[in-house]
Amino acid sequence: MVNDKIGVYVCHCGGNISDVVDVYKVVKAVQNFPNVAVAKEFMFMCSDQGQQMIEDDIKELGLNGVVVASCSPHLHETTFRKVLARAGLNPFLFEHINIREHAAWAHKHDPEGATEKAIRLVRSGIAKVSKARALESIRIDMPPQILIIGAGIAGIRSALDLAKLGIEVHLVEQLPFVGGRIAQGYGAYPSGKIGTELIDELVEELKKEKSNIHLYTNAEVVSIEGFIGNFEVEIQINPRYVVKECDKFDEAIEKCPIEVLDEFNYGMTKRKAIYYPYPNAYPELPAIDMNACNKCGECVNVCGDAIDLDQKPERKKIKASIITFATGFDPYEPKEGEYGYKQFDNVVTLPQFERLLALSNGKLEYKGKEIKDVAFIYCVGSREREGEHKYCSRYCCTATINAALAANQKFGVRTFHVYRDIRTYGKYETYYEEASKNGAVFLKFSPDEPPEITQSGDKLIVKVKDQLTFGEEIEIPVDMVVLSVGMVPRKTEVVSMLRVPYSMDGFLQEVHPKLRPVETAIGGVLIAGACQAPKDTVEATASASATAAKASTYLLRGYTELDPFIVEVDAEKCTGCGDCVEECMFGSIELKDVNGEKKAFVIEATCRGCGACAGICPEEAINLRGYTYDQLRAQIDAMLEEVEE
Amino acid sequence: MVKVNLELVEIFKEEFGAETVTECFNCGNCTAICPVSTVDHLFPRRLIRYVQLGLEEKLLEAPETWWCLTCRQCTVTCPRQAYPTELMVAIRKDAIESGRAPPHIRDFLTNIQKQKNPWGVGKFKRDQWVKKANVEVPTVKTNQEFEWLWFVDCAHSFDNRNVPVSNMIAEILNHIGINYAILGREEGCCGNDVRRAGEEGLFQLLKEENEKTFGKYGVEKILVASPHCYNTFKNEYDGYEVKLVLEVILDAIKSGKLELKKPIEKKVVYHDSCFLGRYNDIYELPREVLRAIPGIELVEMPRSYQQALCCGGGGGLVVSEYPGEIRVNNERAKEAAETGADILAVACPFCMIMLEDGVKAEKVDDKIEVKDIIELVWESAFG
Repeated sequence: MVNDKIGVYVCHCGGNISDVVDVYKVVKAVQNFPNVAVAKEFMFMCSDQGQQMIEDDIKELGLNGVVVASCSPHLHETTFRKVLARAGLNPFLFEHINIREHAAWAHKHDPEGATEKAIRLVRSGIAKVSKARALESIRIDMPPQILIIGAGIAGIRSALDLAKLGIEVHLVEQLPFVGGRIAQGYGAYPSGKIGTELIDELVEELKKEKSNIHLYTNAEVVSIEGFIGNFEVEIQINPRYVVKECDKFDEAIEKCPIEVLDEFNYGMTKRKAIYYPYPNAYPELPAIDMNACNKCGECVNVCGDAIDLDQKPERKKIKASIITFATGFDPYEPKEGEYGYKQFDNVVTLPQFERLLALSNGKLEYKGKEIKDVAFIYCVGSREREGEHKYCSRYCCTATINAALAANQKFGVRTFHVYRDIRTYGKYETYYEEASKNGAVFLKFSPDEPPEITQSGDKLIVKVKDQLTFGEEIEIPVDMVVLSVGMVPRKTEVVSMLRVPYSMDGFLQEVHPKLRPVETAIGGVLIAGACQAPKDTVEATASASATAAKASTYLLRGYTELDPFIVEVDAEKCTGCGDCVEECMFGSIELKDVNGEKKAFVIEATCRGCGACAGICPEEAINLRGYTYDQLRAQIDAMLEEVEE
Repeated sequence: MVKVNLELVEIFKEEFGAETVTECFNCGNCTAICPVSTVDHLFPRRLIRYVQLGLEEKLLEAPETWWCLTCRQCTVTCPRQAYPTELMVAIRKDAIESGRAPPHIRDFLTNIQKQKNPWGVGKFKRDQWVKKANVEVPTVKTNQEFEWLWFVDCAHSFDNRNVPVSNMIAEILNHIGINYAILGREEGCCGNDVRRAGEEGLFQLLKEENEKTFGKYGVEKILVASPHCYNTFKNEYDGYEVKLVLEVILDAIKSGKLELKKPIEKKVVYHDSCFLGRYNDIYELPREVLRAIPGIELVEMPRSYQQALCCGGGGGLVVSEYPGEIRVNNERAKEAAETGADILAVACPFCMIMLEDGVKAEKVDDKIEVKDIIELVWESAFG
């Protein structure tokens, strides 16, 4: 099949092109090229007259292919495709050739060379269009339902935004209670509001949106099948063992004989087997930790059938057009002995210190000892020269200073900040200012000579070669050392189910940091909050709202259109070797049995049109639409053809 | 190995007036701009850092404490308003309280304590200069109805180079018709540089004595020629109206009471006094007076106004052998000579002493002559 009536239109671009490239010569050199019906030049092809000229030619001459040689396709490819559509021609029987950037501008000191290059480029476009096929955009229905994984501050924020638009949200949280890391924090900057209070506010909203938000706590995603517009997800809701309301939960908790370390407080306190992580936790029902519970029945004696110690896990299938990951982060866990961690009693991490602030009243005490002087060591597990965590977690400097200010204001604690660099970027420079004003002492160490922690009597001694004191060895006697730890990515199984790409740092990666900041390379999969990169609360909720806005653009319209440039398999040539399945990073090709033979099949909705499979197929059985082997070969041949003087 | 001691920081803040020490974020602008800091002796930043950490032994052994000119170039440049010059003074207070004043500062303070002047000349000789005056100089006793007390100051009373200037001031004031008087032997030291040397106790004592004397004669308005006296009376004493002789002169020129007749066909370069400029923001007054003198071509040095180089005479250094490595008075004399000016005009008796030395040390005294602006005014009016 050959498109044998091609119109070629060479643009002057008001001199941008024609000052260098001899457009008349280009027209002359291609008008007798095979399959060309007409070739013209014009001052501005994108102008109304230019567009009209093409439209008229298509209708009057019955053109079945068009080549426009002008600027970059980024500028006007869509413009001219629309011209074809208006004239009743399939818009993909079009090739946009860039002779402005690629010829006129790149070779303005060599007009003859530029003209020759333009001729070759235009000829290649003609050859490509001559073998082009009419293509249709792929339309995918998008019913208004979404799955959000993780009910921390980002997950809840995104769920609320969508629910308020009437979209059905499935919000899945692996822990028995919502709130995530923020609930564990102390005064989150910039408002200084206590983490649990922030979550309380969102929970109040959550309660109002119950009709649109299905919240599953203690739940995990078991499997995900399908693609954008059509994800089928199976979740397992693990038993909470507390099945309904009872007004005697407090008594039941008191009666419970089991005590274990409370992970919510990073093991600094103990809790019962039946527990709330903190007084106002949501959902209001307590949970029973079956790893700790000995089934003694004390709580059942108090609460009766509100507690069911034999409750079984439950599975549920969910449909979703879009999936948003809000799976969060983990605080870096220092190695044993790293700055005295787990070696000396009073060396804690910043998240632990924040819990300590939240739990303390009147004076700051840890393990029965009052804390008056605290040294913070910055960049612990961040910006490592060797090791996994080479990145900066960005939030820790401000969070540390914020916590130090709170400790100073609430408990009169004196603070020493042993840092590599302070990055209280953006508005938070004022925190640094305020800390300096309040007498916080800053000491700067070089990564070559990190500080050392030793113990002397009941004090910890931080030894630091302070660059601000001209390399003087300074000893700081303190009651506590706080390690300002960064964020590390969570490698959750659910991420690998969808093959969401990771960045070099191990966080989930967006398609483009500026242009498509919350989308992943997997169609219909969005990322919110700190699963994407270390983020503070403000950035996490901003990105969460961004995912909601992004999702709503699909879900409110009800469908989406995908470019037709995806691959197709020639079943006759396919030998079922499976190389393409291996090669596809999106899981978009599968082998199916056809009359006893294995054949490759493309999942159109998830194919990104990268062409990797086409490249690897030993039989050339796979072609990328719009860039077929035939087209590319014809293009190359045309480009290499001699240009007559 | 040195140990952090935040208690000392509190002492510095509460006792030595170093409230701003925690503002400093160790950028080092002060050290970069300091005209006497050297690669081997980096300050004020280093010393401020010692204060922030409470490293007293480091502070007490630092020679740079006594290198500071209190010229305030760092203070006006500091991006954090940490007032480095004032912190250097606080460090001196600590050193003096610890009995660590070096000999030259000890002598300076003893002289003032005993004789009320930095040179240690007998205090009864304070009014001797009047004898050399061509005109009658009224005192608080001979003119009890005086409006302005002319506080003559130590340099204008005792220093040979500055005494002739005092005579000219008297003649000019008489000519204009100012109702003034001097204290004579009862005049003391204003204490400005005692305070900059870190002897806060002595400063308070001098202040008390002066205020007592002022009270005795009902002084309300004080006229001064020295920017050092001007600074402390205006900013550190309470309730006096303080005026510079140059202000009186400029007013008189403008009103026609003082006529500058004789042209002085010279190229003149003006050297900003720290206590006029950076301490009190007075940059134009002396230049305006110079421009009012017919014939004078006024030129500027590369470092002028807020960035002017200090003469090196502040904080007791006017009577001392400078302990640091860089002699700013010599450097300034050279800079002035390089402008091609015939006259280096000053508005401060200390600048006069320091720069005369500088001009001689640099052997440029055949090219450029140091003169008080008042001398040029007198010459044009009466010469």
